[in-house]
Amino acid sequence: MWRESLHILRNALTDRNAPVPPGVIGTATRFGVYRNNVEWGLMNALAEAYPVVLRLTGRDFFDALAQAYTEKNRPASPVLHEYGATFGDFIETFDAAQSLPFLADVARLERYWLEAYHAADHDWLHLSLLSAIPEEDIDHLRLGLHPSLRLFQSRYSAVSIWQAHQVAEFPDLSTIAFEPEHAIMVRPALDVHVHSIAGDAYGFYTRLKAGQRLGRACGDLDQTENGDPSTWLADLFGMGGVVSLDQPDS
Amino acid sequence: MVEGIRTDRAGAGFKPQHFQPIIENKAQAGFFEVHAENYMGAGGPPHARLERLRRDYPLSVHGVGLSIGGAAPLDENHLLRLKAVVDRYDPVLVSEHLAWSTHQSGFMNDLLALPYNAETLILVTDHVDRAQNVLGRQILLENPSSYVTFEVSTFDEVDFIREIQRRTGCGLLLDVNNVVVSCTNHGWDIDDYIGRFPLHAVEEIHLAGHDAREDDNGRPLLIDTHDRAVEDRVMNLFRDVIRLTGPVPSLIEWDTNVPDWPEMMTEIEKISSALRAESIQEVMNDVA
Repeated sequence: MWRESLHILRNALTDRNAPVPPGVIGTATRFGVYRNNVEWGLMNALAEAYPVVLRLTGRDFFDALAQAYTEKNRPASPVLHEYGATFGDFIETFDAAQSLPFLADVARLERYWLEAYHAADHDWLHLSLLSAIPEEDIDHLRLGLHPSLRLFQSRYSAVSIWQAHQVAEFPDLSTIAFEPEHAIMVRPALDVHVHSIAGDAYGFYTRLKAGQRLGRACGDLDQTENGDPSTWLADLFGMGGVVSLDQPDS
Repeated sequence: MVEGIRTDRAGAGFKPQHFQPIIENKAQAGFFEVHAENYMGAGGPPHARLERLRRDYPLSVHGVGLSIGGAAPLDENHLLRLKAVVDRYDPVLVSEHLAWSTHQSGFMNDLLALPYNAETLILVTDHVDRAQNVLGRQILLENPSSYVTFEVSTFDEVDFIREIQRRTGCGLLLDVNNVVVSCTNHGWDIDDYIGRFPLHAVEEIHLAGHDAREDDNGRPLLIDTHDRAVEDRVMNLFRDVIRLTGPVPSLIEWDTNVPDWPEMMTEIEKISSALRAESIQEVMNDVA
């Protein structure tokens, strides 16, 4: 019986136009307190997870966006920092957000940032460890990457836009070119570091993350106009991104 | 590592923005309480802060997502997440709510009211038993703040809580703000509520601020907002309660419009003063 009532209550709590369910003693205002709590709580969770999206859109627009999202997407678990993982994809389909083509990418970057923030802690390795490995084995190495490491790409300069919002509340975006950008983020200790990288480096790190051996990940990219794999590898160690070196069995 | 909770100093719901001032000032707080769900991530700054905090203060873990008042069995995945937090931090107190929040795997993000009758008594009893079995320890169950009641209720709230406590051996977390909120909203008598409440099982007390409004019929509607200082009325009820229970671990919950640390400390100090006054009174009574 309570199970059936819960079903009706749940539906009434998520539908603003639903009447107070039968069997509930309390006026619409009283029942509405619960409805407001549920809605406000989810919108607030999104606002906390997407602070740059909030600043880019302003409160009213963000609330409309968040409300539309929460109506279709309920949290799957009580761990609310996991809620809203698909917000970026939703923004891309939200008509009123089409005038801000970079918004969905900024949201995706903020989601990766939050994932990195809550990811497992792990010690990382120094580059010098590589020098202990025989040169002929280096190409066969498989690198274990930090649990917080995320690779991000945007068609619309989301990295620059996000970074500008880390140094100013409402930065001037007029100098931003809205072009493809790439970033790698790692949280080696307490702070999440977001590094802008070139597209070729992004491809290299993506192959490493997919578990390709170092030699294959380098591919035919001995040297490009944007840098070379040995520099990217040193950078990856330098940012605390490597946690293990898996030697080939044979 | 700190052992028990001293009852002459009140605690507070821990807010990350207060971490630095708490540690730097060696804040005179008795303990800190965290919402378990905020520490269910794998790692990162939340855990680093809590590890540091527990070196100086006893902890209380307060779950907000177990949905003990729901109809379905408890979500075992969530229960295991809660167990992981409890096992990692070894808190002095672990508590949850007499409320529901999950239905058919959808989480509602609020502490929702349930009817009190023979059916829900069995469900809640089973859920508290299950939680205590999995966690391997006693939990405290908190009385809810509520805005509606149900036609199918056959128990009064206090009778229902007493019966849950008796059947499960759980402890109770008495939220005196919730008592004021619910009694006002439903026209219950506060003295009667406290007079019949199983105070012997109360192992923790919550205080918080609430908002006062009116419903559609112009009747008072108090909302449990946790967004301001404790009302005098709630503080007075707190003093009445600890006169009956003696000093127990007590804390302020301030979760929205969170003030800077000094203002939070002022609230803690108010509650601490009441606790100390009660301790002194007990000594005087013993001497006399």
